[in-house]
Amino acid sequence: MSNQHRIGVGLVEDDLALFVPTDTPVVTMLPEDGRATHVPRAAGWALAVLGYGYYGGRVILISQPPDKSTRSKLGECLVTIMAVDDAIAGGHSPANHVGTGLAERTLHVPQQLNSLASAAGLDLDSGEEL
Amino acid sequence: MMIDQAMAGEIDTRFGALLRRFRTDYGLTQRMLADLSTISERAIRDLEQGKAQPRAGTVRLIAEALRLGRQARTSLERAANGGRARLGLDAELATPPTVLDTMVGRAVEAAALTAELADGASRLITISGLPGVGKTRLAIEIAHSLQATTGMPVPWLGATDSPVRDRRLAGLLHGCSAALYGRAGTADLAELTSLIADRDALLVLDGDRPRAEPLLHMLAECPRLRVLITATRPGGIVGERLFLLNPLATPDPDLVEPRLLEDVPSVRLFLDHVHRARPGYELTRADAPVVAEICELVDGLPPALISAAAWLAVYDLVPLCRMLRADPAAVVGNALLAQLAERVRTLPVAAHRALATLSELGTDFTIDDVVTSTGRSVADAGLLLRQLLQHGVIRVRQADGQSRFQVLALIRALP
Repeated sequence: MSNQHRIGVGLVEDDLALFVPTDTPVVTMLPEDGRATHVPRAAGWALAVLGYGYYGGRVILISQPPDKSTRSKLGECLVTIMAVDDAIAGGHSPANHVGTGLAERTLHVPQQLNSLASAAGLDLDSGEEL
Repeated sequence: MMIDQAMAGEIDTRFGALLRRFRTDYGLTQRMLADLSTISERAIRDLEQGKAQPRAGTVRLIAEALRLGRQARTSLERAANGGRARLGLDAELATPPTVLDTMVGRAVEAAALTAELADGASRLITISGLPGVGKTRLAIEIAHSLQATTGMPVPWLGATDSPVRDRRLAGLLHGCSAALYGRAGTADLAELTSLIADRDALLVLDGDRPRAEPLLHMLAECPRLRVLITATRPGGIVGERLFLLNPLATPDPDLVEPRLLEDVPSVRLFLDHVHRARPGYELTRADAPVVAEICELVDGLPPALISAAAWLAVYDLVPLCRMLRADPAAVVGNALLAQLAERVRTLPVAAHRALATLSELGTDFTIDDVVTSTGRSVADAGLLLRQLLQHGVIRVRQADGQSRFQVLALIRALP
């Protein structure tokens, strides 16, 4: 599955994520950010629920808010799973829709959103993670 | 004009003669009918002369081209079927098994697979995973969901009781099963292929991998057929989409907030069954670490979670957890462990040896640990981990920005 034609793209407002799948089942993140452990966890969750838990990949997260402290962790998780979904669906191409709709389904079904939050270590009810 | 109106008295039940009569009643030449039906002129000639056996799809095309009424169409179908009433493959007859419980913790997986099958993005999907992980339950959920939204028939072949509501169809599917899993002739498969033809349908093969050749032939003949397989062994058929079904997610060791813990799928299933043994039980902060450990010790495997919960009719949480640590077989039962042992036995020799080495590394390990302990290169270590993941004997967790692997606790407990 790993080739450059399968690079997945996720884009939500100011957050852009790329996902480059690999045959080695290890998920890594660029830029390395010890505080953003929720991002690789979200990628691992997306791979698992799409049945591809035996693959890994590299998440490249490009967030562009003026102040990094205003980043939404949930937003970063959603943009990450969108990129994974897009890569699984065949990779990004301008003619294609992005992914199979995993991020939309996850966002609109509370049970699925809880599952992602739980996997990424977020507490949706606390408010501080959002 | 409807030919029904012109039909009267006795009709010839031979397909060729009936076809010729319908065609000439319309004043059509074989060439004209070929143009209208998209069937070749030669095929129509052969059918009328009894030199070829009509398929269901062909009969439908002819009936549509001639705009046959219900009675005439039934006569033509019956004649094509050797005088018998045509076997139906309606959604009412071909249904998935009925289940009475609610599926826990698989909503995302079910939605993803249903969407893939609905839009035809994948026409051949194999759900693979450990025995007891919930492959059949997931397939039933998907089949019901797909049938409810699209109305497509779901012929179901498998170890579970046949849900088919028609004796002849059940017999046909039994014959198809023999052809797909054994060496029986493919006449029944040809008939099922003919019934499906170019209709939307979901064929579920539950429990084992079929022979590739007849299955691929069916997929080629039926362009809107989808096939969903459940099997413990991964891979094998060209073009199949392998869906690895993991055990239910287990909680992080440091997760002690009951409200958050209850969102973790393995905990949800465990508590669901705890309530049957102890009605009114509510998860407390004090119990949370013990419940989390129990779910971890049984690896989130549904039958093991259910067994553990059932023991709460006899033991309290802490003694149960202690029992699980000391002797998992006493809690989860020997049958499940025997199935897991069989699963490990089917691993390739090198992977089996590596699994034994990795079991001794402790609770979890990274790819670098695999390189060090097995002497493999990073690339080979990655392939090994992927192979072990595909067989379901290890799992991966993202922690502290690293992918950390773990041999399942129940696998480690095997003698």
